[in-house]
Amino acid sequence: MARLRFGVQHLLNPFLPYLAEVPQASTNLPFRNMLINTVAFWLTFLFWSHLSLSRIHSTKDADPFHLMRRIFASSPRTFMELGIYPIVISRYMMDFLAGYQRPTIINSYQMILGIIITIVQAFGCIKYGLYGQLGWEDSLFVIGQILFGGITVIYLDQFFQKGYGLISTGVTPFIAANICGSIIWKAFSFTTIKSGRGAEFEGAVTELVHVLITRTDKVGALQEAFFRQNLPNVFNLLLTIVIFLLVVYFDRFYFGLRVRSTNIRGARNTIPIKLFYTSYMPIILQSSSVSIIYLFSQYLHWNFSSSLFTSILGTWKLCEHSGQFIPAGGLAYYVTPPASLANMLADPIHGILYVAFMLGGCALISKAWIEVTGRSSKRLLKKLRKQQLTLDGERNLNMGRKLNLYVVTAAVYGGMCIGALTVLGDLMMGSFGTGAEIVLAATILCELSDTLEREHRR
Amino acid sequence: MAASEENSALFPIFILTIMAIPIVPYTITKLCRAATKKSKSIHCHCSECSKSGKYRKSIFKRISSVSTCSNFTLLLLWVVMIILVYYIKSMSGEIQVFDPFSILGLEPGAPESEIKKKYRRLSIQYHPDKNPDPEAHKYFVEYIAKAYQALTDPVARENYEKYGHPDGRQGFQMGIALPQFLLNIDGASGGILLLWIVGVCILLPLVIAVIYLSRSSKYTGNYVMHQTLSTYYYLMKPSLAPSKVMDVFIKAAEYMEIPVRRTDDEPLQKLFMLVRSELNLDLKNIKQEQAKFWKQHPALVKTELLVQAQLTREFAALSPSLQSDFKRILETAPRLLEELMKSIKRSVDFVYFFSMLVDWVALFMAVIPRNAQGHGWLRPAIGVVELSQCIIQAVPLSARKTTGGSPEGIAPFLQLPHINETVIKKLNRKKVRTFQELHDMDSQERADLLTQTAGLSSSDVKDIEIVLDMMPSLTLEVTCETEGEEGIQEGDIVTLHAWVNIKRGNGLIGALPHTPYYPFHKEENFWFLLADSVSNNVWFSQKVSFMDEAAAVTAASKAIEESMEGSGATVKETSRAVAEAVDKVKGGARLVMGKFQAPSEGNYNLTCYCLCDSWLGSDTRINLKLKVLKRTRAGTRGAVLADEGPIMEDGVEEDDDNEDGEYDDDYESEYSEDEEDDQNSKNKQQAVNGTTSKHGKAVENSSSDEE
Repeated sequence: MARLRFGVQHLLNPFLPYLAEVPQASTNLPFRNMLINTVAFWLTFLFWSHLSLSRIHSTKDADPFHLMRRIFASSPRTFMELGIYPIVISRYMMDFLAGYQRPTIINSYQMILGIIITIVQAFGCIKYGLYGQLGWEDSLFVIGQILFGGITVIYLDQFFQKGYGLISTGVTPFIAANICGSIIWKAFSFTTIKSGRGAEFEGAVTELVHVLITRTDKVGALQEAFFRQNLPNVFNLLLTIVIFLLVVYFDRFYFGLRVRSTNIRGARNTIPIKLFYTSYMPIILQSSSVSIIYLFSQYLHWNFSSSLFTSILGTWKLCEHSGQFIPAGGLAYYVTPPASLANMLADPIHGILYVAFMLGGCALISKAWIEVTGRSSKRLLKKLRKQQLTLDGERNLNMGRKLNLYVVTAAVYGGMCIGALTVLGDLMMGSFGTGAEIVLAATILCELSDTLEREHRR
Repeated sequence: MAASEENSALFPIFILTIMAIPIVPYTITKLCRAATKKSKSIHCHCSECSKSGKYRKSIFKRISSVSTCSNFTLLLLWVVMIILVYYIKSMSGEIQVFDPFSILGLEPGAPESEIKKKYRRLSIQYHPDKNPDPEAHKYFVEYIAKAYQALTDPVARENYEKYGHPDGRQGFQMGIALPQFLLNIDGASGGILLLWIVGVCILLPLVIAVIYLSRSSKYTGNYVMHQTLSTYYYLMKPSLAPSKVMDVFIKAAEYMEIPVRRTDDEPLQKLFMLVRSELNLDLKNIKQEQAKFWKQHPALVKTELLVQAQLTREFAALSPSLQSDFKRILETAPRLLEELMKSIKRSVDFVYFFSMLVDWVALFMAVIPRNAQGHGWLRPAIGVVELSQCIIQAVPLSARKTTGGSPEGIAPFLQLPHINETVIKKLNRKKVRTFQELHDMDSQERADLLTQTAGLSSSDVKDIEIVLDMMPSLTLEVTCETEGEEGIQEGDIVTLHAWVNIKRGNGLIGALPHTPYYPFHKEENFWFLLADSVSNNVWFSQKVSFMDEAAAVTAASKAIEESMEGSGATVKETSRAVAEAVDKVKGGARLVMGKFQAPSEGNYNLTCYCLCDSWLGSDTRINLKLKVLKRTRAGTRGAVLADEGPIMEDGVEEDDDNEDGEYDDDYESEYSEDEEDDQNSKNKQQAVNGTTSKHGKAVENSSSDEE
């Protein structure tokens, strides 16, 4: 039996007998089968995220979670109302609760936690009035549906982690697929919008082709396609690609730690300590916490709009352009990225606070993360010890301390770097999305390509 | 109605965009490749090579090489795109954009006085008071007056600049740029549409995926069948004589797939008579042997006979259907031979192949057994290279038999143009017994010899000179050391550091060899082997190619950088070493670096081979003495254990045995880079592990050292 912090295992233990475990996949599953499984899982996910919930009323047009939808791969009013949010939250909660230890039972605890979070969230959605006023029968029915979707995702995640799919990192690649899909849609969309200037394409590239062919004034047409304001434009698309490449470039940064064998002479190697040591973790945690702030502050704003606490936490207003509610003041406003460079210059305090929040937040989360869970440097140390390796030019005794030094430095600077890239993305990408999205997608894809390469070599 | 007309122009735009995205980059890369291909054609210019027609480009051939299926498709798609552009241009006239300047006939940004002047002139023309035509009245109210107002009224002008219309923000109207019939689906057409969507969007990708998967399961990365590989592994024996390599080589699954036709029997019988002397049949009971030969699988018989036909240059008499089989056999031959070469090494560690690739750290696990012998076998390796040389140059294997003073026989002479056995006999009489002697001669002296004794014409001699100039001669510089330590001790990881220098008479570095009888494109490849000829073991092997300079530069600089960083050199030193290496590579040298484990104590007389797979007689070997000392430093395992004490006390590491395999989510990436390291060194170290069980004695030895 594993021990969790605060004795949480006593709360979770009663549910254990009702949980169906996914058995570990055999180690030499052919590449083909893994590929087929992955596609099947993905199709399942797509299916559930297009199946609408039944017995709901639509009252409000605005979607309170619209800022977070893409990061958690969720789609409104479907079985995937919550997307992978419960998985992410439960995984990091479990990492926090369990620390360094990783026996199999932790996995079961995590699943139970995920299911509990799904139920709580579904209840929250109904309470918030996302689906209009529902009777208690309907409410139960809707919660059941969301729970069903949630459990599906949790099991999909388990299948991935147990090695049935191509990737053992769980369903995080779904986030990348979601984000990349939306960027591609905005680049090549065939939706047209007719306003004062005649019909325009929504897609940036399609619009470029459109204006280049139909207009006689080519320079003006280029200007229009590159810098149009209210719809995705080519300039933002190019900047998005640049930021993507930048993230990939930084992702390849590492510090080579020289090690040698204590047992065999001449056997040495370099272990890369990556700059993005904690990978996309700071961004996901940051986004999760921001989403919680949004949820509370919106709830307070609509119900207790006059209280002081509400104005501190955040006030909301309707954006006439997109028809969604956006934060207009308070904490929620300052943790939201400025819409563009011009907006940032118009309200420099917001800009400065946001940059500070991103850089500091990501660095702190990153550092706190490896300290609370304590697993990274210890895990490395253990592996080195097992292989009888030691740091080149260091005394054996100092090894743990030295490793920790490198790891913490990498984590802090990597976190800051991720934060900076996110801010850059927020300012540059315009209507293509937020910085968090592109950073997340790029880091996940990098990790995915690494995994696939390793898998392929095997 | 207007909306649908607009859509009919918008949908082609979308189609055009989607088409342009893959086609434009594809065309550009194709053009670039075509441009670079022309500049790079370094091949043999002797008369035989040009006669073979491999490099000759007749007009017909050029047309046929350009008019491939993919090129036609590309052209067709471009034509479709151009038609689309014209179609869109003709349709888009209907889309009216409100532009006040163009309505008033002015340049954008014209001053107000100009606007007023123009407005007055147009009013005279169109104003209802002046022009009784109702059309003109309509035009005046809807366009001219509006345009004038938009440019003069400050509010309207601001609105126009902001929203593109003087009346301010216009309502949005969303649409989808799809043809009209797709949007109003009803009954029967809806069903057809659904079928289409299912067919194109779901079934097509599925079919493609199934085809791809079933193909990929049959072939390895090198376009060689899996079945071939396993056959080679199975048949490869440590003491395979070079002549028997052929028997293994023809058992490839690719060759078993060659169709057996009844009509081929007769030509094959004829061919058999021609090449019978080459087949290693026992002359005493030739009848029995012949019957046995024909009893083999018909595909095997055919392949063997056709390969022999290539070796004895008897391919002119083949029937057309055999000719096509013959070409097919020759085309795959170099690929299979390369795989065969690799299989010699791999068949040793094949069993450990899967178990060892788990983690990079496993490399060091693999190193724990302290003795390494027999990574691969030397004799079959040389046999494979010799077979490859013979097939490429079309020289019979029997010509390689040692005669007189030459260890390689007359084979190297036969690869030169215009030289046949009678010429060689004449040369032998003049005391030119080995190919090396001929090669090292002064060109004048050689010309004299060839014209006077052998009776060749001067143009023939010129051809021979061209080929000899093309021939590579190699020199090797090899060092072996334990990085960061002094001397080599038992069980050390020894780093091999070798430079292979190439030199040709004509000063080229990468060039296509003289291969008049091999009808396909063939590049020179060299195999670097470090072997102990006494025990028939290959310790290290690697393929070296001189064709791709850029790749060699990056590989060499990366290898040097890594080894310099590993030894703790400063940035300056590293960059200097890298620059030196790059210069060397550009001057015609290639770096071979690898690691192997030192065997048990003793003196070893090793031989470094550099074998060419397409030239006969250009192989080089040098001797290397390796002194392995007794192990002085016993394993420091005890010290490590003692260290672990204080950290264990942290108390966090209770039951984390499972964590390694169980929960590799975010943190796996930290090891990933390492696995990208030089794969060769990894393979080497797997090979090291391959000997774990075989050399139990040696392991015992070293473990007793420890105690």
